[in-house]
Amino acid sequence: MSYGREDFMMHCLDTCFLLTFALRKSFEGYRKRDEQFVGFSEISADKTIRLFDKLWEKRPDKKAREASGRIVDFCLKRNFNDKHGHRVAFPIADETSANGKITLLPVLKTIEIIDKYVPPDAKMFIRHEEKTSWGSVTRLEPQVGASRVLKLYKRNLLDSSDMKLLEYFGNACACITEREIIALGRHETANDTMLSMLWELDRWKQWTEEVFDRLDKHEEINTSVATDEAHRLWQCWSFARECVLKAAVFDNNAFWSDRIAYENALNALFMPGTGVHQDVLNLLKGAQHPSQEIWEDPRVSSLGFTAFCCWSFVNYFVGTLFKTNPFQSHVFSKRLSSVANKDVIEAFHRVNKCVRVTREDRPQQFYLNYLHSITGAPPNGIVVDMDPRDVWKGKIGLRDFIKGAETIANWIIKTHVIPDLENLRIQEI
Amino acid sequence: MNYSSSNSPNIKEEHIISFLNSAIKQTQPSMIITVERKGTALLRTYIESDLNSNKTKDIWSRVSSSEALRYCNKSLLQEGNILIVDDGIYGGKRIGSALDSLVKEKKVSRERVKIAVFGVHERSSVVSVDFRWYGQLNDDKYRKVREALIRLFQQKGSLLLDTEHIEVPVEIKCGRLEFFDALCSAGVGVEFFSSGGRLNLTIHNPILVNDQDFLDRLPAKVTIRNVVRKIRIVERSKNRYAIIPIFYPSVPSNISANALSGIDSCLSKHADSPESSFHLIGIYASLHLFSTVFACLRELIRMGKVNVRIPQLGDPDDSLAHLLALFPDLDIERLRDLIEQFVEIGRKRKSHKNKLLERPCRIEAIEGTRHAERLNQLHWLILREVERISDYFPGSNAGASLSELMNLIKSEDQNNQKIEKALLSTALDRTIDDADLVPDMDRMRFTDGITRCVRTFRIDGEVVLSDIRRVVAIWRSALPPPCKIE
Repeated sequence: MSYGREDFMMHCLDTCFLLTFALRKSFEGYRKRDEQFVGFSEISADKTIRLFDKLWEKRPDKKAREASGRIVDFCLKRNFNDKHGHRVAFPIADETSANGKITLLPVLKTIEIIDKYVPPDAKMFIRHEEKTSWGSVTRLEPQVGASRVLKLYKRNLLDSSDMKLLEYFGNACACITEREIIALGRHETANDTMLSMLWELDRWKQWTEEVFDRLDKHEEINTSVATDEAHRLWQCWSFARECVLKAAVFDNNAFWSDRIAYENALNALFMPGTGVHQDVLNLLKGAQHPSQEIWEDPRVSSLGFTAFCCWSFVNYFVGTLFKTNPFQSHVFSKRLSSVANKDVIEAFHRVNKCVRVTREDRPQQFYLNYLHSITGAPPNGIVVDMDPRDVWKGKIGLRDFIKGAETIANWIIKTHVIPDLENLRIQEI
Repeated sequence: MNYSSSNSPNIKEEHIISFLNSAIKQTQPSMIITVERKGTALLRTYIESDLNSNKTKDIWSRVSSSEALRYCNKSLLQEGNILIVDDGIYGGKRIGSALDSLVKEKKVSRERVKIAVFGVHERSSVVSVDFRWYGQLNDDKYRKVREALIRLFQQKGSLLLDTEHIEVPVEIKCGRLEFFDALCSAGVGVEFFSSGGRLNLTIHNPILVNDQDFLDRLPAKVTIRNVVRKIRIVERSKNRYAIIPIFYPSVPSNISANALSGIDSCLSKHADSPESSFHLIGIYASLHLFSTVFACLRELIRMGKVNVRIPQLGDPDDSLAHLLALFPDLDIERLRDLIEQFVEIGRKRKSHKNKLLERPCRIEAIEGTRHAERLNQLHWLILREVERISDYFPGSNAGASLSELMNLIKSEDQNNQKIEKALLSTALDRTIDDADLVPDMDRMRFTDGITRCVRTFRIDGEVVLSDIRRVVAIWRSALPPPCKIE
């Protein structure tokens, strides 16, 4: 195909149909298991697409298929990083945003835009809004069936083996949960997991620096400040959470550990009798490395402590603020409703331990019980002595609390996060 | 990047002159801020077209590059109008940033700031433009205007090179090959035509004839390994060339201002940050390469086959005054003297003391040759790699270092490696001349544990980034790279 904009946009549209069809097959499998299944969350839809793209790329005989005009690769950026983390995206063929700078558009966003302009019977998704205690969640019900993909088949962009793989893939996804698809979609090699975690740390660093920079400008922390900054505080918390999930430092359950979810997914898919087609299993073996190779690789495991540090810090800092006036009544504080007072206090104690660990001392593989081995005074002079309970009781003012927290955050960034980021691109002397 | 040439606007030098004449006459600015790099190239086109040489230094002393606003002469901001100049506006980030710097940081009142942009996109609404040549440009026309301007700058001889580059003009009275071969005794040279049709020679990693003196004066922990080091020879007109040495050692990011005491004070006294130290050491290092150049040309000069004349300040071909845009208090006269000194060191250096190559190596990468094909391929490989690095690594907004781009060279054969590296260095020049990439600087950690300021290359703007991404999304390594984008 040519690099011309018109051809490229047509290719993107064909890709949208194909990917939505793959999602449709998964959706049908889920519906068979659970009639109440409404549709995919945006994150699980995105990761399903990502997984599908990985497997499609691993298919053999690429040159021969390409020579006969088949689609062999999707024109996707698999690792588009924006404020939502890694997403699958199209390079846009032409600038469409009045705000300028978008040069990549998430696939789901592209489909949403297309769906705005087509009649109801041509839409690719039905969007259901599900209300939760902290806001609404969109669930996507794919609407692209085999009849709509037929035109690609008739144009020779697909053959029957491609169509069958799409169906096999859908059936395979139905064997695993959404959480497991997310883990499988996010991870494939140690290098990619390491990079993914560093992206989260970089984002966390940017949001944290920004929030403190802005909070520093206010003498008084009042309702107006809370309105302006609650979203940023939530972003700090959110990126630390993403990083700690990917680091898999909590090994209790799949909810908190991408590694456990990843292993559960592969175990479920490779279990005899599940009916997952051998073609899909072969592609999975090529695309997805075993979990030990990912999470026990020092490039990943050495980031575990940093991830834990950031996570403990945000639960302490943001958790404390969101349970005080004026943040308490803000809608974003509801997103942390799962963080109980005891969790915030525990985070305070954990941060107290973390600041005693220099970069040289940090473990290559972090486990929670490592904390018990940390003793002595912090070598850097950082003091973590502002108990959240004293903040909640009004014994410590918010300004002082924020000031103290900023020192801790700066130490984490300088000691752990920046060197990890710099180590990515070491230059030869 | 080559765009389809159908319906390209025919932009001439007189359009730019007329555009800026109008803006300058109506504004009567006390200061002109050029948005790097095409804004500076636009102004330079205007200034160099005017043979009334008295204007040259006068204008440049009132110019500040957007990159150097913080150094600019504050007295020039206190009264009168300020004119911001750029080639185009789309998202408005760069002009917006310059405007913010003036209004919010320097407390200049907005009414005193006027904005002159040659081509304005129809969706640009972030800042209000006071002077334009083209307005209401849709995406396609905006690209074509941009492309036509770049062609014009290339035809005038690579005006898109960094504002801080120093050039020395030479006139040859011999064959071009004789001239080029003499220069190639400094290192592997690649001969090619720029997209603007000008003949170029790039010498990769030229020898330093005076290396011990140079290294002794460099501050501690500065490294010259795996850095940008080249000599560009750019045709300006028939038998006239500009010699432009480019050399950016990597500088510790915690370097103090007084660490530059070993280099001439006309440069060192302007060091007030690691960033300025990086650029000043770059200028100093480039000066040393003049010794290499003129050691190579020693015999030709002696035989009268090459004339070199370092222009005086204010001459029509003055090639130093533009540095005032970056370093407003730079002693240009002293810098000129320094250039003469280094030129003389080279000219007087006895041949047996030289380390020049006995057998010069010049590669012809002219269209139709096999090296030209490889040059085209490397051009795209570089763009793809810069795009990949910018997306792949967090915090990599400043693009890729030369060392990272050199990883594209896979050849294990030593001789072939030398040629490949020279071709890559040349392909990098082309990406800059074509305004696909723009030089930048980043702080990077080295294997010795020191973080240094390093020359990097990033994609020049959203329009180029969008096109590269579109191509890279389809272009897999087995396929040939594109020649044109439609």
